[in-house]
Amino acid sequence: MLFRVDPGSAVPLADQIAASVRGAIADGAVRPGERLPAARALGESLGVNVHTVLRGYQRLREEGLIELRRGRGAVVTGDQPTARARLLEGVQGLVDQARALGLSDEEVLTLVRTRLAGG
Amino acid sequence: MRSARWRVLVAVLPSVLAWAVVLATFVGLRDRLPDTLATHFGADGKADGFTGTGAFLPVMTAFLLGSGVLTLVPILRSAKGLGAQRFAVALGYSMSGLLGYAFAALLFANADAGAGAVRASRASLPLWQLGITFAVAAVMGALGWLIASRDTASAAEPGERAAAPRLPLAKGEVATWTRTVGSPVLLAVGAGTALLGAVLTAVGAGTGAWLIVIGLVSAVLARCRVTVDRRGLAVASWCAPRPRVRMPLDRIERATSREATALSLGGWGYRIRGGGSALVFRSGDALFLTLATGREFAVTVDDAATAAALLNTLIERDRRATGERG
Repeated sequence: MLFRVDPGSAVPLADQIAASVRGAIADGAVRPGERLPAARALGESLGVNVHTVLRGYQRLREEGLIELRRGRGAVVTGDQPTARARLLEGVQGLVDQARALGLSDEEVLTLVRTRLAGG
Repeated sequence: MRSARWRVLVAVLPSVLAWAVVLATFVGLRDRLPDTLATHFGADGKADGFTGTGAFLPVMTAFLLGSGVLTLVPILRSAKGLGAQRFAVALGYSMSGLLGYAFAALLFANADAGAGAVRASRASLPLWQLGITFAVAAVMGALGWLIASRDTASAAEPGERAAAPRLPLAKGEVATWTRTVGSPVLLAVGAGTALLGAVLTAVGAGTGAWLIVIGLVSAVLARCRVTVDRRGLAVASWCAPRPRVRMPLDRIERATSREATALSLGGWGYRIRGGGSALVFRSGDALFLTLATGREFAVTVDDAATAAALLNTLIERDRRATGERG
């Protein structure tokens, strides 16, 4: 699994870490049941604060890609994490494109809702 | 990189020198030597083993030149610089020192006892001579190590270096590659050893506890995490930060990846071979590092190609930063 963090980027470091894991799950480099590196070790390795790493992991947990358990660390889990990670990457792409177009959050949601209603 | 002739000379020189010194000592003391040489001494320094004087030279020659040949063989078989085999060279040097001093001390001890067949039994070689023998061996070994270290592998050819894979990073971007690798073989061996220990303990044989400890350690190390980052390469057990193997960037010359079988790397576990060492968990994808000393370090891990590319990029960045600093 390759973690890439660019402090010069506008994207928050925690989100960059989450994106690295998401990408690794999406392309199959990390399989269900696999354990992510310990937050402290990864923070030291990347030269970022351990809380930043944990914030990234927390984001992945909210997305249903990993489980965080005390003492066991972060484990890739959930229902079809690979497909889910790809979907999330798609959502990220949608958001990025909408922002680039200057759409408001409400407009994006309306677009998605219309799609969902249309089946 | 020195020439092949230089390397052969360096490898055999101490044996030949020691041989010449012992031969000169023998010739010089010839008139004072007994017909039978005392060749073995008890803990009290008194002679308790004897050999005919005529047999001394052939035996001495066989030992010293044999040690020289033993040092030479691995060096001739490898195309790498002596730096990669400084352990073998140091061992050869210390062996020559040990044998040379021991043979010479033996001759002096016999000469001091005076000529005549019965005199040999009076020869004595106190135990402290053994201390000096080992000291000479240690000094010679250190000398061999230093000389061999001077012959490091040539810096990678520019073309070869450029061909090494890269992973492009933006300026200021930090990257860490990490992956766990497990070894079914080490796990099975560890579990089996622990089980054997448990059975031995149950039936009352005293050695069982050690086997349990060894088995559990082996099982814990059967799965490791390999990490490549701005500090270099690190391999540690997946559940504990130590023990770990570490290769800082400045000690790595170049990284590549290829498929390798466990047997071609020398078996499972931590292996030391001529010219390098390896951490072998299983057959398959493996990361190979060429170290600054010319030695090779390998670790079997999936997706080694990405690890190698990142390492090469980080090494290049590290060297450039060092160059700019001074």
